[in-house]
Amino acid sequence: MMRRPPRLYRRMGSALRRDASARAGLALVGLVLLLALGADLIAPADPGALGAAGEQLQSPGEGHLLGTDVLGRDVLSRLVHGARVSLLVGWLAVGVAVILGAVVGMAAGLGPSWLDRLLTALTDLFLAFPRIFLVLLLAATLEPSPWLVTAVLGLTGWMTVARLVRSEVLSLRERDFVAAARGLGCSLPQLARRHILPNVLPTLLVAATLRLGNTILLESFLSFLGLGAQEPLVSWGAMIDQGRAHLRDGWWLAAFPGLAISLTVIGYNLLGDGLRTALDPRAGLGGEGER
Amino acid sequence: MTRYLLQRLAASALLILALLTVVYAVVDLAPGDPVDRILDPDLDAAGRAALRRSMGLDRPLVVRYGDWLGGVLLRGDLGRSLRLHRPVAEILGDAIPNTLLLTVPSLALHLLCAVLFGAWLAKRAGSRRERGATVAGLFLYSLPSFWLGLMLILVFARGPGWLPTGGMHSVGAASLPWAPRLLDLLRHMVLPVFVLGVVSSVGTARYLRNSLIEVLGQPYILSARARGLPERTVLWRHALRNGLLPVITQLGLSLPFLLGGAVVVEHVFAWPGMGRVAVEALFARDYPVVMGTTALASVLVVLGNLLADLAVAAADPRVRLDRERGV
Repeated sequence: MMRRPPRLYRRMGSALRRDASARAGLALVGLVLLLALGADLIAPADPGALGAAGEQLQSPGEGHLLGTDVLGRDVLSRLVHGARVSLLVGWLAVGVAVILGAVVGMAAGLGPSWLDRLLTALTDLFLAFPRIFLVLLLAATLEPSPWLVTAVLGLTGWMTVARLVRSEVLSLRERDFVAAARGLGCSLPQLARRHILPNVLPTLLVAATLRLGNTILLESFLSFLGLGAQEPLVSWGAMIDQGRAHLRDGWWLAAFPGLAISLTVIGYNLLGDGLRTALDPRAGLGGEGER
Repeated sequence: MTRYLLQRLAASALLILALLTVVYAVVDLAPGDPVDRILDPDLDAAGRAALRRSMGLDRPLVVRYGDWLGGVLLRGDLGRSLRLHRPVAEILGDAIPNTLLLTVPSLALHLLCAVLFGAWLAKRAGSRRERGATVAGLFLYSLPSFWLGLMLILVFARGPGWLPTGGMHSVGAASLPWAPRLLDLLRHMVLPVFVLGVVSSVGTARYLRNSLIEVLGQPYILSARARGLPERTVLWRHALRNGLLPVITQLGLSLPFLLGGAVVVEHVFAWPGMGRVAVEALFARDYPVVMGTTALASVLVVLGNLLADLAVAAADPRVRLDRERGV
């Protein structure tokens, strides 16, 4: 009886070893994770510490490697701490989306046909919603916070995962080992957990990695609009917003946080792309063109 | 075909109804009394009750919902803006042409870039150069568009003043003759259209590449090559037609993201379209306007998907039977 497909994991592992860009992606992902976890140790200064008189809007250089903002706070330190919000919101939201998507997709693929039709209709309904407008609507009616952003991004991001899982389950269902398990008297929940889930897991892993890049992009835009993390929390999007007023006399204020977002997102996209190519060489980029 | 068309139309109508319901429910069920949102701290209890009655808030939820839905569907009445004291439909009517002016050229450019880049990648599939171009494309794809917009403003507009920093027209452009006025508008469009159209086309290009590679492996391509047709004709005439079909569906599906991108780009470039209206209404907590933009955007998305599906069904005879079983 087939319990887990080591072949797929081996293929992912060897893709990582062979594919230089996937390795670079993994390195970027690891670097940002390290920054977020060790922010207190790595940051040269307290991200909230106001600078002395004359320290405001210092250009990058001696003393402050990436310059200071209007309040004289060290941009590098704020950048390092900003990684926390982006990663926390991104990982949690994607976690919610992937779990929700996996449950819906498996229920649709394994359940009775009326359930399949119901869940597919629900998925289409959510897919038709322009996500950003839904987010704006919710943010307008509720208090802005990183938790709201996490919840909204998680609850509006599961549809593509659900579709992916459903189609995967539909093809798995026809395989011999599933028929054998059913014939041996395996119940549906047992079948889902013991036989289907392990086979869908690699797909979920790839979907999660690719979703992380997009989710972090969306989170940064919401923070940029002032809907996400509020002071004293530091977030990259909010830093860019603060730098927007000083494009001319303080270009580094907007430039560096944007670079940080870009590198993080590139990391997840390179890694996810490499892993997916290993699983399915024919697949496209981002599947449903999430943006 | 007629049956498929009717089915799709009915499904779309149901979908729009469901979307409008969700929009209404989100705003109506949100915590807080709409009366408080009008922000008049001096209002006493009797005044509040009177205001509630005049806003119709004392009626049951179902009645209010039915009233709102009837107004939206029958009269196109989306309520009045709390901030601008104008009908929401009028505000949106002013903003939609501006958004279209931004999104339609972006979509055209998006498709053009996607076809050129996708075909380029497909021709070189598996080569070193393809891998390099893919990674470069991924870099572009990963840039936050609002930040890219700001950086382009910084590089092209703020310092050297080659292009305007935002808005649709320069001050005083209204009094110019049509030719310089058009030029002025085009100059304002360059940066936003680039950010909205070109950057996201990398994703579509990847998609087209995969679809093209699959098509290029089919027997009819082999037979075209065997008849001695030049590779260029095979690729652009024979393969592209079929390769584009999934891309059309894909474009229909990516409409919400294009509209979402328009929100970002309009905000950064101060473009007076729907996205800007939505964001400004959001900051002013102007609920009727936020509801109106969300409802309109969802309807546009549903219609876009419908159009894309119909376009594919019309172009590809193989689709019909599959779909009729699938719907």
